[in-house]
Amino acid sequence: MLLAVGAQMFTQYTRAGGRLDADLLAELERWKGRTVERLQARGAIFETGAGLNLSQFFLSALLKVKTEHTTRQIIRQELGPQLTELIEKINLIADAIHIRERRPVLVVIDDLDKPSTEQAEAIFYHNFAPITQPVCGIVYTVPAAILFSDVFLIAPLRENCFFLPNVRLHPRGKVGKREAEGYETMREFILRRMEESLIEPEALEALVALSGGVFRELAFALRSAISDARRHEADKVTTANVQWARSQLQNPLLRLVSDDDLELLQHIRAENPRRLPDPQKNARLLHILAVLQYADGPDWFDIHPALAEVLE
Amino acid sequence: MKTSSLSAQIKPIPVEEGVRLMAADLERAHRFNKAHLLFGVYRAESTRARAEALLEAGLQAQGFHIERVRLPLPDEPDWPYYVHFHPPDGDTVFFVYDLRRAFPEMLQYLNYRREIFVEQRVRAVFWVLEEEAREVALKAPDFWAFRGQVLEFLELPPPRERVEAARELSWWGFHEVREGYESPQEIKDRIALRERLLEELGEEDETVAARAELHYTLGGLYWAKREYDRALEHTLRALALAHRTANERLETWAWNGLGNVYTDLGRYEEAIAAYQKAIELDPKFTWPWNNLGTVYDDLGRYEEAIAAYQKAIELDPQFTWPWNNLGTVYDDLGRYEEAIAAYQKAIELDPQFAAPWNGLGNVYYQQGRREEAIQAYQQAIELDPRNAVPYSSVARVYRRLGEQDKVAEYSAKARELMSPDDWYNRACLESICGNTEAALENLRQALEERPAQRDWAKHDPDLEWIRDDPRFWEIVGDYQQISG
Repeated sequence: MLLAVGAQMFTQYTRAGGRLDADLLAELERWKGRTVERLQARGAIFETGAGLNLSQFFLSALLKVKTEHTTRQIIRQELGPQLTELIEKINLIADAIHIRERRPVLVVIDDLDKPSTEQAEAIFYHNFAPITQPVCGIVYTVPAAILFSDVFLIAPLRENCFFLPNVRLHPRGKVGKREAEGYETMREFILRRMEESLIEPEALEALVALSGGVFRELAFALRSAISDARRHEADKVTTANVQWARSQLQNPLLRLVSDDDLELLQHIRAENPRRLPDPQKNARLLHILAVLQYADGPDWFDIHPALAEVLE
Repeated sequence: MKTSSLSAQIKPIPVEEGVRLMAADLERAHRFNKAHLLFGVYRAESTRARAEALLEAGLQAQGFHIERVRLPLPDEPDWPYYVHFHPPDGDTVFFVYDLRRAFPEMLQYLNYRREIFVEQRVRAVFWVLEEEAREVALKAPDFWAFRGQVLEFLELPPPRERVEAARELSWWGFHEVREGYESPQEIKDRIALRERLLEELGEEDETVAARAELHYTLGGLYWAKREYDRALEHTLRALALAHRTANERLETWAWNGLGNVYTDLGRYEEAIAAYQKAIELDPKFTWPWNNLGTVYDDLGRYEEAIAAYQKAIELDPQFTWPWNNLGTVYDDLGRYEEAIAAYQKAIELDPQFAAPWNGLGNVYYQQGRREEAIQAYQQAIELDPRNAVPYSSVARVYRRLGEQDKVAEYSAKARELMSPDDWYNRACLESICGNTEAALENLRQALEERPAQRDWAKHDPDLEWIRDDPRFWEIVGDYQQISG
C-alpha cells in the first residue's frame, strides 16, 4: 500500500507536468537502484533491468504486486523491513510537491473497505504506525464493521475517523415518510446514467427505496432491473422489473442472516435504534448490508429494505 | 454461521426459464462485448446437470464455445490471474465449478482481481451450491457486486428424474480414474459428486438401482484413492443392492471390484473367492480371470497365474492386460524370451499401452541390455508421462551406470509424480537414490499393507542397494538371512 502511495504520488505528479528537484530525483534514483538490486538478488525480475527510469520502476513494481504472486512476496519481504526508508522517500516526494506547489498533497486510497474484518484489523490496527507516518494527508476507506471491533475501540485511528453514512431515505422511526433530499440524490445517481424516458417514475422511486440509500446496491438493482426489462423486450423499466431486482438483492441476504438474527432485525426495523445492540457480535450484519447505518445527528440503524418485506 | 429459516423464502426459478434468461444475458453481453458473470445456484446435482445441458445446447446453437473450469486449476491457484494472461476469445463462455475446493484463497483472488473479469470481458457461469453462493457473497463482496444475475435453480426433481440423472452421472469420469489417468483432486471431485448424489437420492425403493451404481463407482474411486475401508464398504453395498435388483451385470462387476480391494488389502483368499464368484456369474467376463492371475502371481503360484492369464486371452485375444501380465510372470520366472514376446504382443495389440514398455525395460535390464532398457522406459514415459514408475526405473539404470546427475534428474521427476502413500514404489525410489533409512521405512509400510510383496521384494532389482542391510531381511521376514 505504501509503495502504491509513493508510486502514485510520483507518477501522477510528474505525468501532470510537475517537476521535482534534481537532488531529490538523484536521491530517488539511488534508492531505486539499491531496491532493484536487492529485489533481483531475491529472484524478482524487472524486465528493463538497471536502465528503467523511476516511473517505469514504480509502475512495474505496482503491476507485479498486483499480478505476480511470487514477486509480491519478494517485494514484501524486501520492503517490509525497510519501511522507514520507503516512508522517508514518500515524505521527500510529498514535501517537495508541497513546497513547489504551495499546496499539501492529499492521497485517497480506495478499496480498503473491501477486506474482511480480520484483514482490515491487520492493516488499520497492527500496522497503524507505518500507515500514518507519511506527512501527506491520506484518506483511507475502512469497513464500517471494524468500528465495532475490540481492537478499534482502543485504536488511535478512531480519533481521525469520519463515518460516511448511507443516504437517508426516511426520517428515523418513520419508515413510511419519504426524505425528499435523499431521494433526489439517489434519483440523480440514476439519471446521470440513463435517460429518464427509459424508466417509469414509479419504478425509479421503487429502485431508490430498494437501495436503502446505498449507492452500490442502487447500481446493482438498476442493472438487474434493466436486464430484466431487456429480457422482456420492454421499452422502459417498470415496477415489475424492479421486483426482479428486489429478489436479486433479497435472495443472497436471506442466505446470509441466521435465525438468531431475526429478533434483532425486527427490533432494528421497528425502532431504528441509535446504537447497534451488542455491536461486536452484530457488526457482521453491517458488513453484509443486512443492517444499514445512517447519520442524523447521532447515528441510527435500519435494516436493508430488501429484507423488510420478508420480515414483515 | 447457522442458516436461516428465511432462506426457505428464497425465490427459485424454473430451470427452463432460468436457462433462457442466462442465454439471453450472455448473448447480449457478447453483442455489446461486455463482461458478464452469472451464478447458477443449485441444490441437486441432477438439476444442475439439466440446467447445464440446456444452457450448453442453447449457447452452442448461438455459436458460443464452452470452456469448463474446475477450480482450483492444477498449476495456478489464482484463476483470475491466469485469466489476465490467458484471456478468453470473444465466443468463449466459462462454466466454472467447484469454487469451494479453492476456498479460502479463491475468495480473495476473486475479490481483489474482480476488474480482470471486466477488463478481459469474461463471460462466465459459476455453478455453485447454496453454501458456495453464501461464502462468495460474504467473503468476496466486491466480486459479488460484479455479478450479473443469480439464478436460483433450487428445485429438487421428482425421484424418477433424480434417479435417471444419478444413473447417468454415476459413470461420469469413472473409467478414466480406473485407467489411472486422473489426478488425486479429480478423483476427490468425482467422489464428492457421487456422495452428494447419494444424499439426494434418499433411501426410497425406486432409487435402489441408481444407488447400486453410485456405490459401485464410489467403491472403484476409493480403491483408486487407496482408501480401502471405504472402497470395501461401498462395494459391499453395491453388491447387496445389485443382488436385490437382480442386476446380474453390476453384481458381477462388484464381485470383481471386491476382489481388487481384497487384493490390495493382502486378503488374497477372499480376493480369489470374489473373482471366482464373478467368473461364476459371467464365465465370459475377462477381467476377473486377469485379476486372478495377478493374485496368483503375488502369491508365487506362477503356473496358476499363467493359466488364468491364458484363459483371459482365450476369451478375448485382443485384451492387452493379460498379455502384459503374462510378461511379468515370465520375467519373475526368468523366462525372459517368453516375457519379451508377451510384452511385444501387448504392444502390438495397443501401441499406446505404456505398461508393457516398462515391463520390457525390466527384462532388458535383467539381461544387462541397459541401453535398450532405457529406450523402453523412455517409450513408457512418452506414452504415459504421469506414471512415476518408468522414471524411477530409468534412475535405477543410471545408478547402475554411475551417472549420478541422471539419477537425480529422473528420481526427482518420479518423486514429484509418486503418491505419498505408494509405499512400495517409494521404497524402490529411495533405494535407488541411496536413501537407505527412507527406503527401509517405506518398505516396512508397504509390506504391512501387502505382505505378499515380500517374495518379490527379496529379488526386486530396485531394492538391491538396501539388501545388504540386516534390517531389510527383518522387514521381509527372512530370519535365515539375518542369522546367516
